[in-house]
Amino acid sequence: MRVVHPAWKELSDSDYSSFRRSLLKEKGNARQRDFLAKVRDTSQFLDLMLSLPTVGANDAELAPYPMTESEFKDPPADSEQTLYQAWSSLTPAVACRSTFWANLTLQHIRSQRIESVFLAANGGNLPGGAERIDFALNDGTSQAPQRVDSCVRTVLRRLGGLPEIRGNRSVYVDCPFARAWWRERMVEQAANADSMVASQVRAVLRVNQTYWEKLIDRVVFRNSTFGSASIRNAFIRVLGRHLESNGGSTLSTTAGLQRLCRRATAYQGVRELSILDDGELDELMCLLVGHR
Amino acid sequence: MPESYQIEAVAPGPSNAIRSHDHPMLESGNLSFPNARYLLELLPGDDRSSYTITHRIEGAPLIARLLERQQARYACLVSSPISAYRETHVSTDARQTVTWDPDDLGEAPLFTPVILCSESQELKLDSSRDGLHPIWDNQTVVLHKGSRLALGSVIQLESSILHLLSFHEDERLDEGQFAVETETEPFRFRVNLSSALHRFLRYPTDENHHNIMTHVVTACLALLQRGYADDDGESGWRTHRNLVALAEYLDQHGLDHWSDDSFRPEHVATGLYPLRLPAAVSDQNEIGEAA
Repeated sequence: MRVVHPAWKELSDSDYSSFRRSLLKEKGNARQRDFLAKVRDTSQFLDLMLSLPTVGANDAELAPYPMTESEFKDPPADSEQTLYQAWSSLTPAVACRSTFWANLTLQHIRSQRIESVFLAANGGNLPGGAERIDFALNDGTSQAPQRVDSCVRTVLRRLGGLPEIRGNRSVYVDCPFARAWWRERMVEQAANADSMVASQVRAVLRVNQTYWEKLIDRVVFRNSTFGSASIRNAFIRVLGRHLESNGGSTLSTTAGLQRLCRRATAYQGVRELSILDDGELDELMCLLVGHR
Repeated sequence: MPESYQIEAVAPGPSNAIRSHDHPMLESGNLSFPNARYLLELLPGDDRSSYTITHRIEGAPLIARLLERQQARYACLVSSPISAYRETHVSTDARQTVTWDPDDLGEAPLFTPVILCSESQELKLDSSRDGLHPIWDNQTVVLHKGSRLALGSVIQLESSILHLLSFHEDERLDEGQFAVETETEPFRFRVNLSSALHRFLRYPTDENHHNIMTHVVTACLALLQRGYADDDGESGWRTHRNLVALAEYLDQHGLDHWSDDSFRPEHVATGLYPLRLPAAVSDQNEIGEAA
């Protein structure tokens, strides 16, 4: 059986897979160092990456304006909405592919919407991607191979995700453009055009990066509870209402979310919740969240 | 024309749990229905985005009765975790057709067959009437809407290694050459073939075709051994659902796994698909053995 994908332009899966695999083979080797040096220089990076074969013909829209490093790394809610609108014709079948997002991110670099060094930014003590690369390449300690490798992995994760290392979650969590698309898609699905619900749901999905990652873990693994859109929508709608009216709720912490998810999974363990209608699911989720 | 095939949805499991749920359930490793079987007939649709599934429950009068009274439903969960997709298809008829939009799926779908309770009720159980283990005798249980009465194993349609191969003509290769690469979304082996080899392998013909396929499978397994032996539980080959299914498939066939030290690609490949000898050689061997 073959799943048919629309002809969106993306990097060739086998070529990009073998590129990543050979790059990650040995921590801190010359190949990794050379790669980071190229990331430091946008034109060299583009020469390298645009030599990878592509498949498909349709180019997705680019972000309508250039982005700063912090805006790319963690786009504000309105930027994510703008990006989602630009990419409204994408389907989940293509939006789950790191090959697609890697190509789209490269096109943003080529058109100077972002710079290649942004891909190495990872928070922490160092202010930006360029500084992080320089620090890793100039490190003379025994930590250098680990630092170089970590920096390379960050670049690949930001570019389009690193599913062979981080599993299905990687595209949703690690690549800022993909994350924006999936987050806004979930807002759209749960809110059903109600702007107040959309704002509540968006707040849940943007509590912080770890919160988002833990939620996604419950979505993208085999037969996970929140893989069902109807269960997921009811859950985040009720949680959004609850967090809005209970500012200091422990459910806004990652630990609180994980406890809540475990309880939802326990319900799902004995009953298939997806056959409940929206009203029944809302009622059940209110009970779960403790929201009146 | 697609052909239907049958599978046993609930295979005997390693556990002998009976009271692991608040109500009896027909599932792997649960002895609540000691004489029951859950069988499925699967028929792929011509459109490649549907399947007709026929459920058959035997030896579980309790479930049969609830289905007959329409207090339970046949259902099938269709999922594609990589693209955040899981839909439940419910039917009052044992034969149901499930369809999906290929735009929603990032991989071939998983199917999970289930029988679900469709309304809440309280039941007093009788082991001989209901086909249950005696431990449930005279127990009163509460069923809710959605309670699972039977749960089949997740059906992975692409578990054998042959399902993971995709063949591509590569004019850069000399005649008779092939090269295997991996693709990861979803995990697949991309087999690049010279033009004549590509034409030849499209249609099964004789033992040459079979033996070349065994050679290709050997190359794929060697690739797994070289590049996918490591897994720390969080990352590595287990992140690819297709590889997890392949590992289970090898295990079911009593063959080594590519992360085992003893793994020999050629041995596993010929274990799965033994080389076929020309009839003349086979005859000679038989003569030799007889002598």
